[in-house]
Amino acid sequence: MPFRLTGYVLKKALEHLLVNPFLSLVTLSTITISLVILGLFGVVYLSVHQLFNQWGDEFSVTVYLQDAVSQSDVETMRSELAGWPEVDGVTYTSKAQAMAWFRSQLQDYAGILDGLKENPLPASLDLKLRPGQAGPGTVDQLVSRLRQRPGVTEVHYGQRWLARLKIFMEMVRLVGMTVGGLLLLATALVVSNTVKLTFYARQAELEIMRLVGATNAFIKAPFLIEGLLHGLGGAALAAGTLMLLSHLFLSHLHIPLRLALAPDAVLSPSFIAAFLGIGVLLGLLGSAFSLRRFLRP
Amino acid sequence: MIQIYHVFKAYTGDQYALFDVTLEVGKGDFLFLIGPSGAGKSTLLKLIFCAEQATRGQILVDGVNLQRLKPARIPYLRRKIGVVFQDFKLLGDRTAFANVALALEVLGHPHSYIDKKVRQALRLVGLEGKEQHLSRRLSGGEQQRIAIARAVAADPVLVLADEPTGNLDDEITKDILELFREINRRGTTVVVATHNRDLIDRVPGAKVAMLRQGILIAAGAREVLPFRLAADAG
Repeated sequence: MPFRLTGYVLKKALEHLLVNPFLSLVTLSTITISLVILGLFGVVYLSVHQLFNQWGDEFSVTVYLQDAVSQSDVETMRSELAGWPEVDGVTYTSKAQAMAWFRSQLQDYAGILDGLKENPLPASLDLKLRPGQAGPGTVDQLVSRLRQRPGVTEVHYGQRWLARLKIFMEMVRLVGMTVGGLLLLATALVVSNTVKLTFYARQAELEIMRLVGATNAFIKAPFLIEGLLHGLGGAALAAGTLMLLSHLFLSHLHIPLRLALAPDAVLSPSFIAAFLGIGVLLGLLGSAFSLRRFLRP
Repeated sequence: MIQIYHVFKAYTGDQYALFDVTLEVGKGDFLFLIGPSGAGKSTLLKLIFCAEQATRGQILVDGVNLQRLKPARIPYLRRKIGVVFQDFKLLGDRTAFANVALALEVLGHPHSYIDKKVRQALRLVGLEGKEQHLSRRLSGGEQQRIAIARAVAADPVLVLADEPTGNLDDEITKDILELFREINRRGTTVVVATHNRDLIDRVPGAKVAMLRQGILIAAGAREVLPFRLAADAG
């Protein structure tokens, strides 16, 4: 399309927005509200995910060993586990060291251990995970691999909390996807209806344009751009609202919790770019849906 | 310019709006398509500018076979044809200039060219000085002049007019017909569909094609058809 046609099409698209300013405003608000809700789900999900990773950086996985495992086997296992990509370091605690630690924990009551004929505490290997390797999938895989190894009696990790967090994350994801999907669909329909109304308002002009030889693409382009501008505007407003909300909300939180959440993710260029992308796509799809029905040859 | 071979147009089942019409319009001709209401005049014009498609038969316009024309190519054919309607089809809230300019804007011409061509077209139809008047504020005759200016602004090879004087009084009808004659004198083929037979006497040398109930009952030079026209009138 020559440059002057592009200018003409843009001018027409802007005229379309002004055909019914109130309707344009309603459409813009609908897109903004939908994307803000979607964005909030995104922020919660990203925050929980971030929390998950931070916990992972701090906790270790403890592998309890059978008494029958020889020292050389322990050494082999230790060096092998230390080589796993998700493992940052391995510390060995012998049965005697475990007992000494237990004793120190009991302090004044350590005497109750004197009656024991043999040391009931198992030797163990503590695995420290590399930062960012504590996602639910990674930990589950690691634990199941460890459990299958000979000589391992039990594997302990913060499984209860992890499992709960995992369920919560899944819930946020599912609800977010369902609600978000429905919201996006409804928003696309609103855009589609707005474009449809603009189309009706300009029907006489479009008929004449066809008569004098305007191509379908030339007629469609301003409507697509109208949808695109609605989407882009709504997304920009939504991103701004989210940034403002995160700023207002987070400034009232204590620092540790603030750090645990994901304000950086909201402010990140990729998050905003994704948001604008969704907005544009929403606007374009809404318009295209209307035009497909109304510009059938 | 236009070759129509055994064209049929049916809207429902065996109800034909056009039945086996064969007609040829030469380059530079002025043709009156006459017949009473419902004779098929408008339908024939619609087929020529691809607003509808023939049920059967072949139509060639400026060498293009319309039956084989892909929908995406229709706009390019329409750029060679100017169309004028009884109800003008103008945008009432736009100026005379904007209405005519629309025909050139969709073709992507530069502003300076559009400005020149629109003024030329409005001068041709006698609306010089009224470029900035809203079209709805102008008289019926003036509105039809805008429609004619729009039809000729892009220098089409063919102008089709469907009852262009249907809403106008006798004096203005004369002026409008004179405009079509002028357009024709400049080399453009003109086809005017009308139910008003009096018009054909006002254009010496015009050809006539008469339709009745979708059937072409006579076609040829005005001068060689007086008997058939009179017989039909009787």
